[in-house]
Amino acid sequence: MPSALGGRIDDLVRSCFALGKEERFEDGMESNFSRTLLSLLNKYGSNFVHSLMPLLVTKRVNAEVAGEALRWLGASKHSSSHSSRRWLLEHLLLNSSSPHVRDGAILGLSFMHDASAIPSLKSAIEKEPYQELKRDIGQVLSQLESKSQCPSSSEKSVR
Amino acid sequence: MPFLLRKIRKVRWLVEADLDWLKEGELPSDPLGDLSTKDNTLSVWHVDTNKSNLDRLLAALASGPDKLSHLDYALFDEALLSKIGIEFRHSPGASADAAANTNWHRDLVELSASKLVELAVGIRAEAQINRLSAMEAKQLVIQGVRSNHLDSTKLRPKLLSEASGDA
Repeated sequence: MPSALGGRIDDLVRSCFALGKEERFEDGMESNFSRTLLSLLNKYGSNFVHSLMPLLVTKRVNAEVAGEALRWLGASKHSSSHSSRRWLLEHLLLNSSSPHVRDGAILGLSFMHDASAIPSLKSAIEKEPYQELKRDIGQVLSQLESKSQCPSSSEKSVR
Repeated sequence: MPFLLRKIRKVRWLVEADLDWLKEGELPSDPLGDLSTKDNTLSVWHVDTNKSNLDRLLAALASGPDKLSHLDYALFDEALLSKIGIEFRHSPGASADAAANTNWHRDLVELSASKLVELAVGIRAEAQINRLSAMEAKQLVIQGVRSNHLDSTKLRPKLLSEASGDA
């Protein structure tokens, strides 16, 4: 990525996370932070995802905001960044020392419905120190494993 | 004894062994973010002793946000309130389930800061803290709409669209 573009994205990421620190988050509820995050993702795609990595790995942002970002990154349907988003979530699930970040990664992966995450989830469940998060990883694993065994959806709808 | 239900963010309530600044037995402050009061009052939902209305209440809570998502919740014994000296009263809820709003919504009232902390400590010690996955939440919402428990006109467009399979 050209350094001028990378520098601009880094500035935008920092501003976005500063915005998040001032907000109160609720599950399933959009916020100025989530809207800004997703608009940056839509504009810059995988370049944006790559620029998040140093911030999230080195814990230079508030853990709750980081967790919130990972939930929304997982929930996004932005197709060209799918693999880089999944990679980021898996990496943080396996390597972050923050339970907020790992929880965000678990939820993000649950929203992606991507069975390619199964091996990472299996590794994560082995090393996760919190029982509550182990259970959550197990829940996502079951969901993905049953989906990969029965690919045709039997989900009902309100129609 | 009946239970009380409150939507929370589960990760805030994790026992954080790596908070080395936290004195033993103390609660960190993040859980209080899930017990935000208005006019010194906290909204909760009454769950019957046999939990027969739990799924219906979870559907009501899951149908509230902008989009379908997982739902973290705490379920605690109503007896916790009398231990702490917290009063409650019936009050109308604001979910998409009119009958739930009338029958099962409660306000915990006259909450001082110290009672709120005691409540948080009690929830952390005694509550069942669970997560409904987004898929499970979706199924409950769909069921709720089909059985006319949830008024679909009260659901946000994106959530209704997701439940309809359009999103």
